[in-house]
Amino acid sequence: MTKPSSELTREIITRISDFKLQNEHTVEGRVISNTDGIVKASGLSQVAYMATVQFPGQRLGVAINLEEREVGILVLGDHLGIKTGDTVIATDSLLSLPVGPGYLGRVVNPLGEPLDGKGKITGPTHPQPLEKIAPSVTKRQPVDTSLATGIKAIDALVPIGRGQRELIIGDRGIGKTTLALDTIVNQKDQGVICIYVAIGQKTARVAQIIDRLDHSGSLAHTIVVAANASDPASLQYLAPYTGVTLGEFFMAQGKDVLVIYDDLSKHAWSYRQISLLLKRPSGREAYPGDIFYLHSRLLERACRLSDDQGGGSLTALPIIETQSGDISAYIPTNVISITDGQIFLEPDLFYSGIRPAISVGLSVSRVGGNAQQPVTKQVAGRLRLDLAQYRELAAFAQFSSDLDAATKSQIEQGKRATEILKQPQGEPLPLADQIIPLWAVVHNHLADIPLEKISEFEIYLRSFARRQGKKLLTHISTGHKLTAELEQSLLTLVTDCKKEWLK
Amino acid sequence: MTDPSSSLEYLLSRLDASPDPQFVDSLETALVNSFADLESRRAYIETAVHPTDSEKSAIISLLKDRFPQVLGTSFSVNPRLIGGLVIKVGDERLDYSLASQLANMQKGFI
Repeated sequence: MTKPSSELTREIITRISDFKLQNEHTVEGRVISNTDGIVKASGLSQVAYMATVQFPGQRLGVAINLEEREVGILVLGDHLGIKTGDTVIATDSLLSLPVGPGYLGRVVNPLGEPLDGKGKITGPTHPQPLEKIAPSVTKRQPVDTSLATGIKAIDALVPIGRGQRELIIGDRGIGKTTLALDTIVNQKDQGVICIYVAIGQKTARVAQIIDRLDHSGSLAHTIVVAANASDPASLQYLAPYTGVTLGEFFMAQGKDVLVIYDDLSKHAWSYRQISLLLKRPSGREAYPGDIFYLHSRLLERACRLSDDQGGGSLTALPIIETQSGDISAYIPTNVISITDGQIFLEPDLFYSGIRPAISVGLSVSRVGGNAQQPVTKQVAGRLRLDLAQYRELAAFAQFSSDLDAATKSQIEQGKRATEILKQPQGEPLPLADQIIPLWAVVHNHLADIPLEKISEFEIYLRSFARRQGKKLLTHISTGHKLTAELEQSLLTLVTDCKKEWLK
Repeated sequence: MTDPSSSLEYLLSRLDASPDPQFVDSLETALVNSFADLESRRAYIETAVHPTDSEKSAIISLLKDRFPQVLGTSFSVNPRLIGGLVIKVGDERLDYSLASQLANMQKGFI
């Protein structure tokens, strides 16, 4: 609809009369050099650390190196076209992100700009600084609530609690991202908001991940923050901080949030690149001296807030990619020491068909035990020990064919437990579906099932339980301990199922 | 001797023997820093039209109040300012020009 010219003239006159004269006082600098998006500028004497600066053409930068006569600036986005002598204008604001509920279901870059072609982020937003000090001790409470991943091996052996930081570590291509995505899929309808931060990954792979989340119906409760391999190091460096800032927004509202950083090895590479271009002194593996603080300040922001603070939680699942299984390299050891445990994936297990390829011996959850569901703790409590004994016996049995019956039985049970812990990707299981087969194997009720038929029997047992043991399933789903009576019902269920299956 | 490099060349030409490279580096840094210091103590004033002598004196006395560190001033004319003036001292820039006010007004309309 067009406005009549008289109305338009009136509006112009009103705007001109309302215009207030402002004398502009700016602090300026000049570009001295631009090296791969790292700009050195003179002047800008009053600029603050992490303050944003403006280049010609509305390009933004952030001051990260303050020296006596120079400032090192990280260009956010396209740095091509910034030339020596260009004017840089300081702003009063620290680097921040407009956060709000409108990000749910969206794919954004580390500056919060949409990448999914669905238009602007809608709804109310308010700016939050990307760099923030983690909540203090008094604002936290212990991790004591389980975050179900739906993966038997994790929930039973290395349980994760809400507010925990659990590292997923392993070589490339052995299922780290799959574990993380299955965990996101399992949070559907659980009230947990998921944030997947892709750092330095191939764009095609990120597209696959988004597609998988979309097809499983998990994108609605997820935010994807993507800084791909083709993006500048500055965006890759900022991506995890964007993820955690978005997560903190929901945590402050009392919600439970899960943030996945995929992966922090590439994040460390991007920070190394930035630091070397800034000519900061380099140390081990050419990483700068503050590489530990880079990750510790990020992961410390994961916590469970006290009830006074709303009781929200932010669980972090950082991923680290190792080279040839070397977990003693610089970045892996740093992140292992920062986190509350690690899930170690082994290539040997992966290629021998044990998937997820979780190494039970090297994986640990330091706080998750307190958060584990009582029923899981009761059923799978001795599984870790049984598997450790099995591994030892299996190694010993390689040299001896003459074994006593008890040892043979223990080895057979270990093999069956290993089979039960296998799980196809993209099929996270609810609690009850995990507990029944675990109970059966722990109590050695699968000894008469041939090893190669264990997976088949497990599927049959789950469907049998849905038909014949609805009451039992309902009770197990509550997470409470099994009573003697319920254990008897479980025994009857497993026995009846075996009878039917063996027919 | 208007910039650090020509000053350095002049100083070195006055020496009889070739000096230690470390000494040359330190001298260069010192010269660059002193030139930068001098630069930050100079006010550059751009006006849309030539100011009269009394206007110049008024501007200089106002500058002394706001920037007591200023030791010298340079006046130049830039008709693109349309009216008013722009003052630059070190990395600070004060824009009292009509051109920037009009630009701000234009931004308000978009």
